[in-house]
Amino acid sequence: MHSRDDPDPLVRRGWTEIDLGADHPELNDLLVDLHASAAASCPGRTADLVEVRIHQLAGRDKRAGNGIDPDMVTSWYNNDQWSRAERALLEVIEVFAIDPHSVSDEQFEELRRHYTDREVMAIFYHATLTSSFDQLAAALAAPKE
Amino acid sequence: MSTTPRLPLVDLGARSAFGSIRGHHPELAAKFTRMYGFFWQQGSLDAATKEAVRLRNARTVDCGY
Repeated sequence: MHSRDDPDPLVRRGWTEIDLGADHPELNDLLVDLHASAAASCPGRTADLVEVRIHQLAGRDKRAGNGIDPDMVTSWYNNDQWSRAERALLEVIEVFAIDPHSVSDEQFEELRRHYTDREVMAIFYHATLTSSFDQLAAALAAPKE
Repeated sequence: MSTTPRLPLVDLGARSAFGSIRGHHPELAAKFTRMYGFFWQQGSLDAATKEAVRLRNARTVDCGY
């Protein structure tokens, strides 16, 4: 049993370095494998876009990869850097991260105009796991002072 | 909130629409099933506690499962 003086390793490692594998290595391996596979199945740079936007909305820092400027993601609706497909993606992911029930049929159909059903599945697996790990981090680790 | 599957059903024999839709990406579906099965069959929490958490979460987020 972990105490305040001897916290769970998940908490001890802090906001950005939670180590789920310390106490639950097998479950962690399965989750990490699923998350990595989902990201790898996302087309183009969509996996990075999804991660950056979801982390932003969760209040977490994320260094963007794949040539993505985080500031351009923050203001995606106000600049023309993004393709129609990426704009459809960002619109859906933004709503999904805040309230999954609020994703409209029209938004979902617009996403399907640009991505295959297999890609849509991969995108949502990736978004779900990214958002869930953010929630896990928020629940188990105190924010940095 | 939409209650109609937004992707075509793949496996008509699946126990749920969600299970059927996951067939659009069989590799991820298999990995998810393996992870979820491990979660329910292993670990330090008893099944009743896990089910209580699952049910409470489902009710809170308006999930039908």
